Amino acid sequence: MAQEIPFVFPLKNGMHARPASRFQEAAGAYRSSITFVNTQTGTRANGKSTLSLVASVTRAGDPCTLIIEGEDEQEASRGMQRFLADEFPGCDEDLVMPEEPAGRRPLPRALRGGAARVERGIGASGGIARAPAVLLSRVEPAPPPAGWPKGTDEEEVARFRAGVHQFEAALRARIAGAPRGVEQDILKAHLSIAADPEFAGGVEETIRTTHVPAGEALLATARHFAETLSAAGSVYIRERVLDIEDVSARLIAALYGTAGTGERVQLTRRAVCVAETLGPSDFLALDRRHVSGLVLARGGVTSHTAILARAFGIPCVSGITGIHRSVRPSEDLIVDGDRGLVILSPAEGVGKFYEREERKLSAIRQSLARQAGLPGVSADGRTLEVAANAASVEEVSAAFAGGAEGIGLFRTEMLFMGREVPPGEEEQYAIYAEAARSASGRPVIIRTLDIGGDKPVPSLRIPPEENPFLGYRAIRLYADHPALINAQLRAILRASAHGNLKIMFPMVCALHEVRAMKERIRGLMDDLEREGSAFNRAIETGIMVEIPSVAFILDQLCREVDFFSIGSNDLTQYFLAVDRANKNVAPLYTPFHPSFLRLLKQIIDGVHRHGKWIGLCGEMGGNALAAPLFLGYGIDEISLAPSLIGAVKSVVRRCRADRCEALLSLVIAMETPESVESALKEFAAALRGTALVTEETVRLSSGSATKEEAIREVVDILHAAGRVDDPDAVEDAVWLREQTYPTGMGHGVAIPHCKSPGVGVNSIAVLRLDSPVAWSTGEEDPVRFLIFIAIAASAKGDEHLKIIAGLARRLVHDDFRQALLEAEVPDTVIDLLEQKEHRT
Amino acid sequence: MKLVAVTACPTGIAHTYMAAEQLEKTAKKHGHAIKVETQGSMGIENELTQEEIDAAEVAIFAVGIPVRNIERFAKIRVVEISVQDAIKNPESVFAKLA
Repeated sequence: MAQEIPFVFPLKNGMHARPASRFQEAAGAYRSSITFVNTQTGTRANGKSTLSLVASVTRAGDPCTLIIEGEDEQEASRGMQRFLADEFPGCDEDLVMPEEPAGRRPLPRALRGGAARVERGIGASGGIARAPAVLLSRVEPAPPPAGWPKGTDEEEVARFRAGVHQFEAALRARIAGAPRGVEQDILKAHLSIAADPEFAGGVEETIRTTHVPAGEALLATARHFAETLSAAGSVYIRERVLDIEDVSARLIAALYGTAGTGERVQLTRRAVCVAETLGPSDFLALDRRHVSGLVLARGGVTSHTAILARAFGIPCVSGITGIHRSVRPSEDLIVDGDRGLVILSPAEGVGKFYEREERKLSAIRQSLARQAGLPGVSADGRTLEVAANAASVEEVSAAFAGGAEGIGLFRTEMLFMGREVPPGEEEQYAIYAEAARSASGRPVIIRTLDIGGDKPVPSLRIPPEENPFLGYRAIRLYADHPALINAQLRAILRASAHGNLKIMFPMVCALHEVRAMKERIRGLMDDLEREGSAFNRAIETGIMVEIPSVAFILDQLCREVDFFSIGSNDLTQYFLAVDRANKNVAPLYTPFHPSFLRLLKQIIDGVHRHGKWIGLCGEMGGNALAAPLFLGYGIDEISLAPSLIGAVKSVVRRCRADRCEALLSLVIAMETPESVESALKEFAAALRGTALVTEETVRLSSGSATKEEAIREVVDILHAAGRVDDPDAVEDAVWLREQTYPTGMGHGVAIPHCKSPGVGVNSIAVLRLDSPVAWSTGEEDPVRFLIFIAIAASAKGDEHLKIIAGLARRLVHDDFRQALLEAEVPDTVIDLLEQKEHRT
Repeated sequence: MKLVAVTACPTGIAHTYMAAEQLEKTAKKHGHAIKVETQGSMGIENELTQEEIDAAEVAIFAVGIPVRNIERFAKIRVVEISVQDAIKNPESVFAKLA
């Protein structure tokens, strides 16, 4: 009796090569036939064939069924259910989709007006690179020059099998040598294409039925699959054609001992590689030390070549039709991966623009990294530990390198995903101990397994639930699965001998759950003591605050645990009864409801009243707008994604705790989340500076030699100071204003200005040029002093505009202008600009 | 001479106010009485009443955009100049008034 498993296809990017290869691996473990049926489209695929699975053209949300038939079908059915629940949903990664093509956005002025040949494409990997071009052609799947040698059908089949064997061996060796991560995944996907039974079957069948040479049969089969995939609705799946062509070319080379038609390029110095298209293998074959940038005529942002470029931090622009024909070998190229531009033979001014651009971007990066490395403490000395969330040892090390002061949440679910047998005590011990050691004394909070409910685990035999969010999950299933939780707790306890580990339990709703866990820990500690294993008997234990009931028994819980951590995502959902994945109610999902903010206050105050500490580890922690609230609450720790640490710390360090307390009282009394959010935004803008002009925005010496350069420089001064968010848009707005009439006002002074949504904070930048520049045609009075006024689009008739109006009035007075022009230090300029009225 | 003036520029951020100041400064130098209304980022400020306009001999418009509430000036002689001229060549503006 065949087994059927219905399920909904869970992966955002549909069934593409990487998940398909994992699927095929899992299915391959059983003797039964496993057929994948997409009931939406009616397509069927051999579950043991990656290509056939990919060719099913399955998209997220499609209803699917697995049909399992054969002698071990019971076992296979259980295994595949486990795979679908635990492993498969983790087989895809979120694609970092670069922004829309550059077409809509204004070009920086320096790149306009024939000053440069600029090609617009899609920024597939960010960053700026400049180097001579090297033209590459990919290895094309094509017959050897002398044509295919031809044997009997059986000889051709044997030739094909030997070639596949050789190719597989070579790939396996490279997989073993590759670092874990994207590169290894892509090589594995290629291995599964080469070893695919449908593919091999197709080639052998073609040889036997049409009596063609192995190479020809291979090309025909590859073409068949490529055509199927090309018809797919998803761009992501269409881009997999490149992988099939890539593998076919390598296979042909293995079959006939040729290198294919593409020339092998040995890079000897830094170069921008330009190609019509480039297979991942072609890309990996290059010496990456010498690849400064990559330019592709075809392809988008989701091809494996683009994904690799991002993984290696190599700027890449793709989708510029014909670029491989228009670039000359060794031509000087600039690749601007952020804007999606390639500049051919840049003129001097363009080169200068990008040199300045790189200097500015690196200053911005350094300033963020500096902020991340500083302690989380407010301007008036209140500490707020800024920790990071992590799910693996690698992420722990990366988080500490990125300025984390602790790990506020180490999720352990990930260790259990992507595998069929759960990790045992020893394996977990090794991971937790490594995490503890790499923290060198800083705290690492390990959260015990948070599975079940919406993350079903068939091996635990949980029946399907009507309402998984309110179901059998996390701490609620530990008592029924003692082996699972004991192995994890023993591993954490033993690892606690190597550093500052803490244990945290998820989904607690009642006191008895905590008591049972404490009892269990005591028992395990006694066992470990008898065994003579080292551990920290004083290890802190805590609980997640996700279920609102916890807020009302804090006195009781504080007698049992050492700390709390607010899981703001789940707490928001449970408190407001809103499933944020349901788009009809999702607008209700925000932590800025005054009710929710009051709940947080009650919880945090309650925990502190009983002498315990409390943190927060949900997405709210990474929201820089909310950071002042956390200082206001006096929460002890927040834990967030490592990439957000710099931005959040820089807010924390500018805040004054007393003002944050006042802000908290203010928003808690508000009536809507919208008014709370706009109050937070106002507070954030004020933090960035109520001052219009600061020492950072005054530059009294500049080598800018043209009006273009000078205007870009004042815009960039504000960008580097974090006051302008979109420098290209602001530059464009300034030039639009100059078009109405130039802003030179005589006496060597110009006041370029604009009102633009690209401005974050109303600002004034001041620039004195070393030598004057012409400002408008037919004007004999060149400009050597710029006062740049940038106004946010949202600014209304407020204080800033009043100050600027006053400044404008003062500028028509000779003595005021003279004093500005002669200022020797930025402070003098700031004093002059900030004067309330004209002093004569 | 009794004068009234309106200044207004496209963004209303700087030139409106520079022109107003320049007109006031230069009028004072020539011994004229002047009241300047600014139509800028802060909205209409120092607004001219109908009485003030009726009592003046000439109205100066130093503008780059249409003047708001222009009907107030139906009965008075208006000299219209560019905002830049008001800022850079105020003397020539006043020469036109004679």
